[in-house]
Order: sequence, then structure tokens, then C-alpha cells
Amino acid sequence: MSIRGRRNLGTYYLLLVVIVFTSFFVGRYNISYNAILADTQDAAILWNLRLPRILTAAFLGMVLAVSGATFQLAFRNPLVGPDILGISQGASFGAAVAILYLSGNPLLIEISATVFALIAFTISYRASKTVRYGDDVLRLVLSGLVVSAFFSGCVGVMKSLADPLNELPELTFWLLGGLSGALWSDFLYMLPFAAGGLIVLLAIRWRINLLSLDDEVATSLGVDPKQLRRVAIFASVVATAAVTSVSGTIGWIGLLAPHIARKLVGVDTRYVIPVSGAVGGCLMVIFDDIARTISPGEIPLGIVVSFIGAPFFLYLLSRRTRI
Amino acid sequence: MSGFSVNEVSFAYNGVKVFDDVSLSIPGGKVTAFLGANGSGKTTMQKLLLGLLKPDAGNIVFGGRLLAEFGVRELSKIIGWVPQVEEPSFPYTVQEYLMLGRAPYLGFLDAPDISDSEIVEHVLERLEMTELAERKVTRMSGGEKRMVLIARALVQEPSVLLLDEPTSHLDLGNKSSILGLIDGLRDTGDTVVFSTHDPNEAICVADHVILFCGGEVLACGFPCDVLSEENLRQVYGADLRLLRVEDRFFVDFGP
Repeated sequence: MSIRGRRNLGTYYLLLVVIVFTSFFVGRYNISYNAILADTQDAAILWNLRLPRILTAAFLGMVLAVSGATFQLAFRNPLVGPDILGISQGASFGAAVAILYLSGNPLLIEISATVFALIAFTISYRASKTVRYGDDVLRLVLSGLVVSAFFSGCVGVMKSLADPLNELPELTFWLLGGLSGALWSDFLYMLPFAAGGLIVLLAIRWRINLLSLDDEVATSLGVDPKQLRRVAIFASVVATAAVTSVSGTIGWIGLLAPHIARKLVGVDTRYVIPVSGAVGGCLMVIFDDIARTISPGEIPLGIVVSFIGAPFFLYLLSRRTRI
Repeated sequence: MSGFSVNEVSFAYNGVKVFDDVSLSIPGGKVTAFLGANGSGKTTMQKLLLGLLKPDAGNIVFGGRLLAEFGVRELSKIIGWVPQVEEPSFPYTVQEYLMLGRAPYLGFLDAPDISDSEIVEHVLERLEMTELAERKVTRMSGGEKRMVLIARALVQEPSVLLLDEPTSHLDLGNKSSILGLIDGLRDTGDTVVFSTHDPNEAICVADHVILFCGGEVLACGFPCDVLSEENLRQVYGADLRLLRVEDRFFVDFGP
């Protein structure tokens, strides 16, 4: 198919809708499609448990993918994503703190996750300027690695402080990355921040291209690159923190989906940003379907994503031309 | 037709003085060459004219108005810049890359529309680059890359074009086509400023030459007046001779 044909955004979101709808009927508990409108226990499972979880997965994938695409442009670096920069881990730590010490109020969890995600991002970015090894691409990845490890360590401390009978199992499962407890209330608390971030990024999606230029060149084109970068990064971080506070740290998608999107539609962010979102949403819903069904218990989503994401990352690193 | 006048400008870069009380003027609607050795301040002067750097003292007037009074966006519709080096980080197509030149005319939430595409197409036609439109900017030769940068500046529809060493690291054929392009811009009434360290290029296309030497303006005026053996020896610190061939002259710097 020609690149123009592949740039029809509707197709990707139609696919997402189809996958979301199909996922209604995927799960350990078998539900037939005529249960949707019936007033039965099946319908209750569908509407109260499965639907919020599937929608959360879709938003989780969309946000991580769109944030990943944005970070890659904002730092002119095809190897970064919200997890690689330590933002997801920072958000996880912030959420864990709020779960254990701030009464677990969903709004406080969101806010604490956002604050720590911003702190993690700031440290990654600042630290990358002090790394004296490799080029700019590698430096940011390395300092992100350090920040991720640091916040993962902080989360480890949280775990050892948690009550081993009540809090720890819940915290551990959540931290491995999972949507098993995602209810309507979680979805609805996450939605305004996640959707808000997505709307901002979709609205400025063409302009994000300009961040791939040197700041001086961007200025000569009448753009304030610092302001544009701040808006784009802030929207990405807020949205990432929102979804992370429901799911825990989920890696890879922020890296994978934009690369797939660029393969499909080229590098223009006018197309890459929305297509990344659709691709990320589709992948996450499918991965979560796998997590829900593959074993009698439940495999944490983060583990499913890692099994598929890690080899893909290796493949990317081994390619001669990076996009 | 608006030119620049730079009045008693001083500028230091991280504490290192580049210009001290420098004045010069750039005529509107003409081709001006900034000529000087490497590190003589040519690039810094272009960035001052672009408003990317601000003078520590003195001022720059453009078209009768202080440059400092122009907004970034307003200026970007008037002045186009072709930087010396630019390595695109992602494999944009030429068409997409040129479209970035429409940024001055698009609001924060806007995306380019069909009229912007037409402007890009028009510039591609004008530079005879139409067949390059779908090529990736990361996979082009040095000369093609330079043409793409010039094209993007033209997509801005500026009335002033600043080019920073547009011919550096290019072979003779590419140099010639870029000089030909600069020569062609003269007819549109645009103000063109290009920097170079090759006096022969200044002789070929410039109406006006400003000779930089160690952060000072050594001479400015018509090429035939400015480019004397004495001035050039001082600028380059090398023994050289001017050769007159037919109605042109050339610099011979061989041993």
C-alpha cells in the first residue's frame, strides 16, 4: 500500500475499536456476544469488570505510545520512551508512596505519581548533560537507566516497608504492571489526565516536528522551542503518570509503538503521533487479553509486554538504519 | 527594500569577546558577502542579524526599525536562515522537511494545508528539485542537503536570506550551482547575505563585500575595491596574488 493510503488515520482507530470490542469476549470466563444487552451475571462481568479493564488498557497503550513518540522527537532520540527515561518508575514510586502513606485516595495517587514522574524526568534530563560518555542519544538513555534503577530501588524500599499480609501482595502485583484490579473508578480518575494529555499532544502534533530541529533553527522559523518542548513534555508526563498510577510500570510500548508507526506512515509527527496512539492501544489491549487468559491465574501485564518488547528492542538496536 | 545597519555592536560569547564596537551596513535588495578567515565572526554576525544572539552593546536596525523590537515570529516571516550544518535526526522526506518552513505562518494548533503544500511545490520547481520531493533528507549528498536547507528557507517566503557558508565542503559542481542560485535570487529583489572564506566566490556573485578580520570589519564596499592584495594578505595571513583574467579577477594562493 502507498504511504498515502497508510496515512488514513480512521483505519487505525477502527482497528482499535474492533480489537476492544472483540476483547469483550476474551477471558477465563466465557461470555457469549448476546450477553451484552441481557440482564444477567454475564452482562455484569462484562460491564463492571471487563469493559473498564479493556478501556484502561487501551488508554494505557495510547498514552505510553504517544508519549514515547513525543519524547523521541523532543530529544531527537529514537531510543527513548517514558520507561527508558525513568518517568514510569518515578510515577510508580509516587503512586506507591500515596498508596501506603496517603490513604490511597485515587486523586492523591494521581498527583503524587505526576510529581514524582516530573522529578524523575528532570533528573534524567539534567543528569544526561553531565554524562561524559557516548553521544547525546546514548547519554540520555544512560542517565534514564540510572534514574529508572534509582526509582525502582525506591519502590523496593516501599515494598519492604509494606505490611506483608495486606499491602505487600497488592503492591507487588500492581508494581509488576497489571490491570487486574482496574475498575470503573480507576478508569474515571485516570481518564481526565490521560485524555487531557492526549488531546494536547494530538492538537500540536504537526508542531512537534519542529522539535527535531536545532533550537536555533527552530527559533529562526518563529518557534519558541523551549516553550513547545515544555508543553509537549508536560502533557506526556502528566498522561503517563495518570495511566501508570493505575497499571504500575509498563515498559517497551512507548518505544515499540512509535517505531511501528514510523514504519507505517513515515516520520512526520502529524501522522506518527495519532498512529502511535492507535498501535499502542491495539497492542496493549491484545497483551492484556493474553495476560488475562494464558494461565489459570493471571500473568502481570508488564511481564507479557516485556517478553515481547525486549526482543523487539534488541532487533531495533541491531538494525543499521534507525528510525 | 530593507537593509541592515549594525551600529557600534559589541558581543562576547561565554566571556570571549567576538565583536568590540563594530559597525557595518548591508544594503537592501543586493547580494552581500561576508568574507573572512575561519573564526573571524561571520557566523556570529549572522546570528546577531537573525536575532538569535543579542548584542551586549550597540544596536542593529533593520528597515528603519530596531531589530530588538521585532517578535520572533514576525522576524521569521522576513528573514530566512540557511545554517552551515544541520543533521536531520529523523528520515523526513524532502517535502515534509520543507513544510517545516511554513511554521512562521501557522498557529500553535495549526497544521499545514493545501496552500502550504503548493508553496513547497513551487519552491521545489523553482530550484529544479521536484524529483527529490519524496527522497529522505538523511540519505542525500552534501550538495543536495544544502539545497534542501536553502529550499526550506525559501518556503518561509522571506525577503532577506542569510546563508552561512553555503558552499563549504562541497565539490566544484555543487558550489557552482549554489552560487548560481544565489545569483538568481538577486533578480527577485531579495536581500541576500552569504558568508564564505573563499574570495573567488565573493567576486563571482556579490554586489557588496564585508571583509571580517579577527572580529573587526577590515573593509566594506564593492568587491573590486575591497578585495585588494593587501587586504586579503592581512585577512588570511598568506602570500597571495590577484590575477586579472578577461573582466574578472581571481585569487592565486599557491606557493
